[in-house]
Amino acid sequence: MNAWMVLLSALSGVAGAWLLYLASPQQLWSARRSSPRGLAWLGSGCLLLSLVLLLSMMGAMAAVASWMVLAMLVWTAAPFVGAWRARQRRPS
Amino acid sequence: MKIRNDVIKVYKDVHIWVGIVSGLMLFIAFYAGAITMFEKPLERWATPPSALAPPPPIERADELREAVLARHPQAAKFHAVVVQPTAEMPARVVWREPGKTRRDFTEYGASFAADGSLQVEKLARAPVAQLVDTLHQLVGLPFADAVARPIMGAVALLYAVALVSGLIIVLPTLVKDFFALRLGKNIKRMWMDVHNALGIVSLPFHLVMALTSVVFAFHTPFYAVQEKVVYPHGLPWGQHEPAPLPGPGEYRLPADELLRRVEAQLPGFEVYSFIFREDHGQLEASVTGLDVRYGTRGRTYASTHLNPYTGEVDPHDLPGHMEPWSAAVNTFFMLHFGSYGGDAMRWLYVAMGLAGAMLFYTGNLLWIESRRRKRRDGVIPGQKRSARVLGCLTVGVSLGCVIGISATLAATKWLPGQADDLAAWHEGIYYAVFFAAVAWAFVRGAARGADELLRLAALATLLIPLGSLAGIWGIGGTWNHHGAGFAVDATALAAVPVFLLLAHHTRKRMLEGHADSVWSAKHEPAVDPGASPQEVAVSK
Repeated sequence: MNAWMVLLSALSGVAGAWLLYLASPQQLWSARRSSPRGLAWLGSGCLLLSLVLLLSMMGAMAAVASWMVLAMLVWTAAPFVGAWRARQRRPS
Repeated sequence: MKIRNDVIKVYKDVHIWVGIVSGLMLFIAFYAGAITMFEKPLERWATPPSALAPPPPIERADELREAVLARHPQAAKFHAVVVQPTAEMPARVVWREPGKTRRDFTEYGASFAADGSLQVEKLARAPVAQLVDTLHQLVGLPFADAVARPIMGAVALLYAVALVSGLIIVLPTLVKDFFALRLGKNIKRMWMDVHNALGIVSLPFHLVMALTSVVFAFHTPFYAVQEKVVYPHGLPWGQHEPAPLPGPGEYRLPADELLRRVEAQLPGFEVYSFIFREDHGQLEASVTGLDVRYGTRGRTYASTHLNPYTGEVDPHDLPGHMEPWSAAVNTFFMLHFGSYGGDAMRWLYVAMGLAGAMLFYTGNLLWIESRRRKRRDGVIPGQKRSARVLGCLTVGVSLGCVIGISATLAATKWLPGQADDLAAWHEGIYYAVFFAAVAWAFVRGAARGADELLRLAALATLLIPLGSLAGIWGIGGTWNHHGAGFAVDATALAAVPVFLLLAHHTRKRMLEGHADSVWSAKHEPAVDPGASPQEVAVSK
């Protein structure tokens, strides 16, 4: 597998999952939520790109599984990262 | 989605009780499982250096093989040519001599000494990585496999029930609360959100783990049923094409030529070894390795038959070349082992495994918080005995597992010079530390116990790289492989501040948090739960 393609698919996967978190009404990362619909479209596009890149490099099942595990991990971590940022924002 | 409250309550009760029964065993399975993702590097780090001379190049593998078979003809039944020798497999040619059972065997390796003579060594792979894997497989139970495995299967079934019931509980608010993490004064709400954040999006991962674990636990009964229902003439075990015979003018190809031909046929497949079995003059060969683009149903490698005279690979058993049904089965188990995508995917599985361990830990915290007796009229009531007991168990079992694994890993570099039965020593250290930690949690209470045991976890984990450091200086018979295993030491070192940070927060919570909690040290835990509030001593 080409290392640059792997990196690109991983980065677009992380970015896509993160953008979808930012589009959620429960996101805590940003105080002002800018255009959830736009973020959701952009996030979906990045996730799709990540999947297409993975499918071009790996077997179908391994590609889909890699993609899902990456997204699951980002979405598991996202609420905690968002909550941490919200705490930092809070005036002491 | 609307579901009747009485239905939700039933599923909530089911979820709570199956979670309480299985949660701590699943914590051990997930924590040990996360470490097992790097079983091979751990084994490499833990195996003492071999006394064999450096392996000859693969071009001389057949010369070495012939020398071995001349001196040890019994090796013909099962021997291998290793393509890339490593610390845990330090010889170019290795062979197995069977023991009492199928899984019981002794491995030997061979090399050429500087004077060209044959060197043979009994290989001594470190058993500590296998111990961690066994803890993972048997959910930490200190019983024989025959007893622990069915219990593990029952735990896996409970795990599946907990996943389904948990999903039903959150369905009515799933969309509204997706990604919600409300950190505030409502601690129960916070733990609920944390538990959901860890569990909801990773549900597919957990479902795969639960279902595959059930199969691992009960595969023998499953096969027995298949044999009765599907295969009336018996399962076709080991029925494959007979070993090929050499054609006119054909001879067994040398290992380097086999390697070239296999690499030409299977681009992307990294060859680990060639295995040869000779029986009554017939030679069977197989090739082992891994193509990370497809993964494998095994933990670390796939293998398939190979014609040793032509180098032709029979690929039907290799991921990427399988029939649809076999490919589906391969995928099912590949998803459990994370044997696809290479080391990057293994690291993702480590993170998912640790998140899974926290899912079970937070489930118990939520249960305790739900049963908290809150301060009334300035009086702090004693907490329920059940909450105190579960608090101690949660702290003792979880941190006992963490400290036990760190302690037994820390002993790795010191034991070979001091003890013979390394496997027994590693197991003894793990369980001694584990049970001592559980006892400590009950003696000190959940709050103090958690703080102290987390500090002990940091210390025990710090001892892992210190053992390697001692090896660099050659203190007390220790050793260190240059390069190999550095990641093990680095990971252990990185975990130390994490444990200390957790200990810091636990202590802060114990001293500054709500006093009406099992996690506070402000009141004595040994308060009779039946006593009236007035009888309960309050100290601040």
